[in-house]
Amino acid sequence: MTLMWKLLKKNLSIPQLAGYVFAGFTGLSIILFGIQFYADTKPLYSSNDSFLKPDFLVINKKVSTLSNLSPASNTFSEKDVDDIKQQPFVKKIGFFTSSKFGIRASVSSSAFGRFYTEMFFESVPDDFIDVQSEKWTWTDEQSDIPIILPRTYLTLYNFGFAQSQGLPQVSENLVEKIKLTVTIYGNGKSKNFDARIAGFSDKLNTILAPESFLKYANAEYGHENEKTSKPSRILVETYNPSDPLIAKYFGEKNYEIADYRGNTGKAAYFLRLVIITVLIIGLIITLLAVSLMLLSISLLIYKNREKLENLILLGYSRSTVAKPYQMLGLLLTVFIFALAFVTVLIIRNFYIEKIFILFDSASIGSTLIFTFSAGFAILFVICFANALWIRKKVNETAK
Amino acid sequence: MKTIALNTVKPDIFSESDVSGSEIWLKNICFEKQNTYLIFSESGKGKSSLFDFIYCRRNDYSGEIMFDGKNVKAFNSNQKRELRSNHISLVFQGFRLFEELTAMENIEIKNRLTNHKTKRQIEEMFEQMGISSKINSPLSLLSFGQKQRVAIIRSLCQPFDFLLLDETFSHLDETNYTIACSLIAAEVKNQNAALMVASLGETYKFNYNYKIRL
Repeated sequence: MTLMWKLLKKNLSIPQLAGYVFAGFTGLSIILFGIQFYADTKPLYSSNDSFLKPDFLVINKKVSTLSNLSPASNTFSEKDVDDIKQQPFVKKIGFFTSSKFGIRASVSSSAFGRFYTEMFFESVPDDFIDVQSEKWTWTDEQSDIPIILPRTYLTLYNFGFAQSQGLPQVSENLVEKIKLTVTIYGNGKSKNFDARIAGFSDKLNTILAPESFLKYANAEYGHENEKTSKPSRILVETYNPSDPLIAKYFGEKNYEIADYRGNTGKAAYFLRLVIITVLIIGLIITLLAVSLMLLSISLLIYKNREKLENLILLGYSRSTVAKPYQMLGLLLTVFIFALAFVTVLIIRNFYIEKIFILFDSASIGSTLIFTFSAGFAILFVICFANALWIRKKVNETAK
Repeated sequence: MKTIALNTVKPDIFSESDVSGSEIWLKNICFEKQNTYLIFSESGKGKSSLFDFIYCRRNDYSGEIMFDGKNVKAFNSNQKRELRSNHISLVFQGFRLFEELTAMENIEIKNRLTNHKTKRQIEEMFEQMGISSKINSPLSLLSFGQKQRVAIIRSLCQPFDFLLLDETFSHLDETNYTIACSLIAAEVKNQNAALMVASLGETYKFNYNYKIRL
C-alpha cells in the first residue's frame, strides 16, 4: 500500500482536497444540525393532543357580556344539541360531566415545599379519550385517580410561576411522576385519593378524571339539584375535521371551536419549514462538495493515467489500483463526518438545556443516535458513490 | 500455459503487401515452452506490436492468438491480470518503470505480486548487473542503460512460461549484455520457460532453437 501510495499520490492537489474538506464540513454540519435540531424539537410537532383524536372538536358558545345576565345563554339547549346531531359532518357527540363535590389537592415534595389548592374535575365519555386503557381506568377499589391536565398549566407554572418564585422548572415526564393528594368532600363525608397525572392536553382546558370515578364520586359526595344542568361544552366527533361545512355551521351559530393548535401550531409549522430549507441548503452544499472531490480525484487519475496503465500491465488488478484513491475519499469523508458531528454536539450544548426543560427528557438521548445514524447513512452514500466513480474512472483510464 | 499459437494474425495498420515477407504475420505459427526464439526484422515491421498483442495490451489485429487453445481477445481483466503476473513476462521497449520510485522499489512493486524472489536474490541480481550502487537511488537519476538493466531484473521477478524481450539490450555494451543474457538464460531454464527475443538482427548470447523473420 505504501509503495502504491507513494506512486499514486503524485499530482495530488492539497488545495482541492482542503476545499472538499471545508465545503463538505460546512454542508454536512448544516445537514446534521438540521436533523439534530428537528429531532430535539420533535415533541413540538408531535404534541398534537394525544388524548383526543384529531377528529374531535370541542364546541362552546361565545361568552359575551350579555351572557352574564342570563347564564342559560351560554349553555346548549336540547334543541341546540339536536340540531348539531343532525349535521351531516357529525358522527357522534358527547357531554362533559362536572364534579358536584368539593376537591382539595395538595402536593408535597422536597423541591416544591407544600401547597394546597381547591380544584374541580370534569369527565368525558371514555371512548373520546385516547389513553391506553390501563392508564385510564378507575374502579371502586382504586385509591389513585388518573387525571389529564391542560398543557397550559405546565407552561404557566414553568415560565410564570417557577421563574418568579425561584422554583425549579419541570418537564412533562417529571410531572407525571409527581404524586398529588386529593381530598374529596361533600355530604358531610370526605376521602383521600392519590392523583396520578396521566398526561397533558392542549385541546381540553379542564382537569379530566375518568368517567367512572366521577359517577361514583358524584353519587357519594355530590350535592343534589344539578340533574337538570345543561352542558356548556360539547364534544363532537366528525367524519373529517377539515370539512369546510363545520366552520361554516358553527360560525353561523356563533359557537366557538377550541383551537387547540393555535399559535404554537403555526410557529411549529414555520419552524419545520425553516428546518427543511436549512436541510436542503446543507444538502446542496454537500452535493457540491462531493462533486468537487469527485472532479478532483478524476483529474488526479487522469494525470496519473500512465502510472495506472503501467501498474495494470505489471499485473495489478484495477480494484487494487483504484483502492488508494477510494481510501483517500473514504478517509477524508470520515474525517469530515467526525468534524461535523462534533461541531453539531458543541452547538447543541447551547440550546439543549432549554429544550430539556420544555420536553420529555427521556427521548433526548436517542436523538443523538438518530442524527448519528442519519449522518452515517449520508457518509455511506457518499463513500459508495465515490468508490463507484473512482472505479469507473480507473476502468476508463486504463483499458 | 504451454503454447502460444498465432493463426493468420495481421496488425490492422499493415496492408497485406506490407507483411509479404513475414514468417509470422498471416501465417500459422506456434510458440512452445522451453524453446528459445529470435524474432528479427528491421524497424517498423511490428515487433513491439506483436508483443503488445501477446501481452493483451492491444487488440487491433485480425486473425487470432490462442493460449493453450483459448482466444486471448476474449480475456477479461482478471484473466489478463493472471496472465501478466504468472505466465508472461515482458521487458517493454520503453521500460514502463516508475520515475518516482527508487530502483529497488520499482522491483518490489512487481515482486510483491507473487513474492517470486527474496530481497537477497534481488540484491544479488543488482550486483551481477553491476548497478548495486544505484539500488536505492531514485530512478530519475539513473542512465538509460542502467534503467534497461532495472527493467530486465524486474521482468525476472515473477513466475512465467514465456519471457518476451523487446530490443532489450540496445543500450548495453557487450560485457553488460553478456552478463544480462546469462542471468536471463538461467532464470528461463530454471522456470522451464520459453524465451522470445525481438531484435533488429543482433543475436546476443542465446542459443536459439528458431530464428524467425517478422
